Amino acid sequence: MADASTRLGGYGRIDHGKPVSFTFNGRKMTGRAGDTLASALLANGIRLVARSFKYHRPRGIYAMGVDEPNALVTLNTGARTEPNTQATTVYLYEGLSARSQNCWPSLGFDAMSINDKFSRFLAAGFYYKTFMGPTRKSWMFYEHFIRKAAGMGEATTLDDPDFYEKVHGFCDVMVVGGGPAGLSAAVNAARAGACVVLVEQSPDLGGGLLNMPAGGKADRWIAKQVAFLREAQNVRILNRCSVFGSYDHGSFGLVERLQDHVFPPQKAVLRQRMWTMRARRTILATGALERPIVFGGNDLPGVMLASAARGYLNHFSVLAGRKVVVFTNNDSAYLTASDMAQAGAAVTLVDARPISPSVACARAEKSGVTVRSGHAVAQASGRKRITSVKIAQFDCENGTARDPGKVMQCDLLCLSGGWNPTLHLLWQHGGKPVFDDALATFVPGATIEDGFSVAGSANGRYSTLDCVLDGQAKGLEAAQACGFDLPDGSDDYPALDLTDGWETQLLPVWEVCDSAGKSQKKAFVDLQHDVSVSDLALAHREGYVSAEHLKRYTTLGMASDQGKTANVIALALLAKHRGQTIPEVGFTTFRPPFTPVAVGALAGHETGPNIEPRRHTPMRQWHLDNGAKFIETGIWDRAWYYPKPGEDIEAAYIREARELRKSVGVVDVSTLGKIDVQGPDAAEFLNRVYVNGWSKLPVGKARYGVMLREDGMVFDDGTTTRLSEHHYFMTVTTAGAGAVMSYLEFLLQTCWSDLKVEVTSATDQWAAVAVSGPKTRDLLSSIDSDIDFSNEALPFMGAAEGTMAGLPVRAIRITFTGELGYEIYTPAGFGEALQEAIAAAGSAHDLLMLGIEAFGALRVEKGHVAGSEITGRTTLDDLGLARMGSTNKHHIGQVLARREALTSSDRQQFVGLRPVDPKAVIKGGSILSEPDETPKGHGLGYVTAMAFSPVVGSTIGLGLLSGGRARIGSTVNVVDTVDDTIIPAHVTTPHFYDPEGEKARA
Amino acid sequence: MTRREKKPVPDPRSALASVTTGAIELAAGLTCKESPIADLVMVSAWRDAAAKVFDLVGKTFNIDVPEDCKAESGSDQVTAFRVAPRRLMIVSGTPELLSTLRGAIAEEEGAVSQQGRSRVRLRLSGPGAAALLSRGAPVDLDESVLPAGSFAQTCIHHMGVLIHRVAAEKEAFDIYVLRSFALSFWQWLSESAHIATQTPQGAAALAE
Repeated sequence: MADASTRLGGYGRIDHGKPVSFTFNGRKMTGRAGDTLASALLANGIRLVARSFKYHRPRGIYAMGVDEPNALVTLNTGARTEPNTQATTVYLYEGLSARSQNCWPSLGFDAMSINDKFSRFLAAGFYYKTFMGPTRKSWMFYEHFIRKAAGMGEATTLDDPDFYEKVHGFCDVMVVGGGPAGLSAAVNAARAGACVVLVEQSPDLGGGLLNMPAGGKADRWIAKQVAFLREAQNVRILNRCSVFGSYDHGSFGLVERLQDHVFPPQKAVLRQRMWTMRARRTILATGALERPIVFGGNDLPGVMLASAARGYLNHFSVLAGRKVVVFTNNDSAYLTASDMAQAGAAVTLVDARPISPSVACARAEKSGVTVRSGHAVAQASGRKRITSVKIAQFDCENGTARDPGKVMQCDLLCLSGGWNPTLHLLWQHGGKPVFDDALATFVPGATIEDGFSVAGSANGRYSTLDCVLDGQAKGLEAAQACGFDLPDGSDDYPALDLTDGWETQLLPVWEVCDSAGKSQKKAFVDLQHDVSVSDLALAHREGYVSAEHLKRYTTLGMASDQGKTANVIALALLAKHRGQTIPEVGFTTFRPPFTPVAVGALAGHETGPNIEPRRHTPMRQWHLDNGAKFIETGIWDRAWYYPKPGEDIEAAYIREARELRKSVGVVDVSTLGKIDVQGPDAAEFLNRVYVNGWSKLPVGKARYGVMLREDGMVFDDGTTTRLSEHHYFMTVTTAGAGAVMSYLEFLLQTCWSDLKVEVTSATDQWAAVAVSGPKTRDLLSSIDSDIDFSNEALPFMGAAEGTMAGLPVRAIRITFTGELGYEIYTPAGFGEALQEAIAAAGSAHDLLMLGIEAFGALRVEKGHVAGSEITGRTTLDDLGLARMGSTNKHHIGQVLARREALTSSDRQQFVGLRPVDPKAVIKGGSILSEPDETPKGHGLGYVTAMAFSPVVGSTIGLGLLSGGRARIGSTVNVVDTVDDTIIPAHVTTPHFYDPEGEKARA
Repeated sequence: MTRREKKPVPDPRSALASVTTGAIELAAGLTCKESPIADLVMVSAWRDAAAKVFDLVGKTFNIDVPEDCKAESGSDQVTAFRVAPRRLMIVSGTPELLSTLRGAIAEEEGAVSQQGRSRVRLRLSGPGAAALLSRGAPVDLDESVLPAGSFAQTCIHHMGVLIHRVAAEKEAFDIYVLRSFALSFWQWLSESAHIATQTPQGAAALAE
């Protein structure tokens, strides 16, 4: 499995003096500080690193960064398990453990590699075609086995022990990429005075320059730029940080890896930070990614991108092969060949072009490289790693390798099929790429998205000097766009001119076919998803001729590498099949993320109880201190019930509901939405938003009101009190408060701007308790107050302002339970004191603490509509409230409520339900059907709410029933399809208790 | 309405009484404490009377009327934030603000809404205050953008907040949050500070 070490002394940018221990598949190995896992594996002679997704083919390290399709590993164990990690992006640390995935029983002998033998049957679309029958549910059965056979690593189900945080950042100019163009852009923008953020995904700045031999002119230039930037007060450098998404208005998603390069300690650490960066201008200096060339066996371990092989040598001091073949169609690979030959490898460079670039070729040959122009690698061979290649004359016209060719032994094959500018962030944002025939790739169009500019090789400028000059120009331009400029007389900043070998044009070569022009077997386009040229041909034959359809049918370009090495080649091959040019074929849409992002980073610390904020009433602590159990109702935490020893929720709420009708109870209703309505036109405003009239409501009186939406459906309900001539106090439902407030503001600002009315949310200003029960008046009268609670002074729907126990209060005589009741409001800071005062007085009056469960049960008994009936699909008439609708005035929803479908007599109407057998339990959500009939579809309606009613002596339900009011007195079946029970029930009016409302008026 | 003679009103209770009663050090030198609000009102003007109402407010409290929705204006006793084109949020160091303004502003010109107990104000001060808030606030809190005496209305962890950079201390903010969210906001703030200070990088980010 392992060869002798390929680490060279005296090379690279790693710390040769600092060994770092790690394990791979349980085997102890040693790397060096500064290594990636990939470079350390190569240094330890490891070539076989992973098994492929579908065919379980042996795979090795292919690239050097985020474009790596093959070398996916699982890191660490337990709660810190991290599957599907590219070995090329993991920086080595002491104690790191990595293991291969998708292989059994071992990486070397993987039983599922038998898939490869049957690969002709497992082509694109195989699963869709094969596992769809015989029944609709068959897929569920097959999926289990398919997931076992093909796939990637497994995520842990343990809680992530580490912290993640989210931060908002702002800058004038964000430069993405710390290579020669990015450094130049950042320096110039900073010199002009702009606030600059420079983002680099690697630990070190320098980009592609770090792949050059260490210690040269490039390193000195980098050091100077970095020193300037670190010194500048207006620059923030974010290294180990990736910009993964580009969003509207100059906002970007970034993930900064703070701890991924050190061994995780026992305790939790701040592992990653997600930035939402908002930049006025963004310079993409994101470089270019090398693309390979496709031919048979091109996925074997030991096949590698040429730039990666050079980087492993010059950055990490690893010579990835001793007998090296470099296959190229452009000038850049000559540098790889020269550097590897100088490092001691025997190198043959195969250039598909008939004529090699003279300077680069001479330099390579001087280094000992054998150059074969006009040739191609037609086939790579080997079992678990490459052992030989077939080199043949290349026919440029047809893209074919001429027979017979010659086999050459090798242990490394380096590929360079050209370069693709890394423009994902631009294209995520809707930018349209343009195909450049000379570079045979997509480049930014002449006009690009507002706020963006592109510099360096991302802009199709491949020489170092061009990158630096382009970066400098774009940096200054961006700063100027933000209102900054270089001081007059500023010198040009020194550029960097390197001889990097770009002399002649590349020859587009996407695939090397055999002499008959046919694609070869095992010629992979997308290595990560095992998509071969034959899969693309099949997709085309089956009619998937659009690039977007091709992508979805074959899954090309998906998964963690997002097809960075595959996409442009796939488009070229599709164009060939369609007989069109690449631009005519089009382009697939790019979406975030550019690189994988841990879900933890997206969540930040908004997990568990912190997933969303909670709202608390002013009496929260009192409820806790007095034994209340709480429940989440929407965003509010509310007192649910107050159990006596041994009571569960069922026993407690039934007791609370029963006792209230005998004595007096208090419930916290501070969550009610409250809106302060003021202005000379307030009455007119209320007339327009409520179905009922408000002009004649006297000061000091409250009225129940219902609002409709414009489409005639009921929107919300509540009580509004007239505090003075032009001042109303509106209450709306807890759940509807936000929507009602927004809607009222919308109406006033856009529809009725002529009305002198102001609405202000007062929900947080007022605490409220609802006190009700036959002994309520006795209780309230025993508290020191200047309010007269008698029937005469404060009749039903009356309101008064005054004090209770020294606290300022508003008392409104309304009730939700159907008993004599008052809602007492006090400014929120006094809510707890009010609760205490009532509780203190209550001991002499059998005061009952009521949770919202019992409160809800009492409303079911009383038959008030609530949120479960105001669903947005019910009309006034459905809810039995048609008589409220005034015909003397216009109100919202009035016209559309008259639509035929909304006035049909068979609409579902609000009714009560009482089980024929008192012991039977009606369940919420049950479907209603005709007696002796199995319900079909949605039945005749459904149960909206249920409770045990102490008054009735059984469970009771409220429901919406087709033609319900006409059915009162009949029976229906209450069908629970979950528990599979059918309960016959009497259809009744919804008002089970005191239908005349005498109690409330007592 | 039935109105009777008022009795002395007890002190209102803090929404944060269960978690804090004084200043808490969230990170080195970075403290947070509740800064009680004596009174707070919303003053709204009708479309044709905005200039007149704002002028009245200015004269009543002897302050300049805020010119935009960014800079506050105030005196020792009163701070006025223009929270919407025709709306002022006025915070007072003394109670009875409401009655003062109700007396000054006619119903034909505008409205005054009592909001004195609707919000909790937290004073976050010390190095790292802006950095800590940037863990949640999607607005630029840099002093060049939000100088002392200016404010921003935004959202932190789904909670609406008004962030006011105060001049009294070097790096200090008053944060107004709805009372019902106060406990959750406090939790967000302390949790964010705790996480930010878990590692040298986190602490360094706050200290920047």
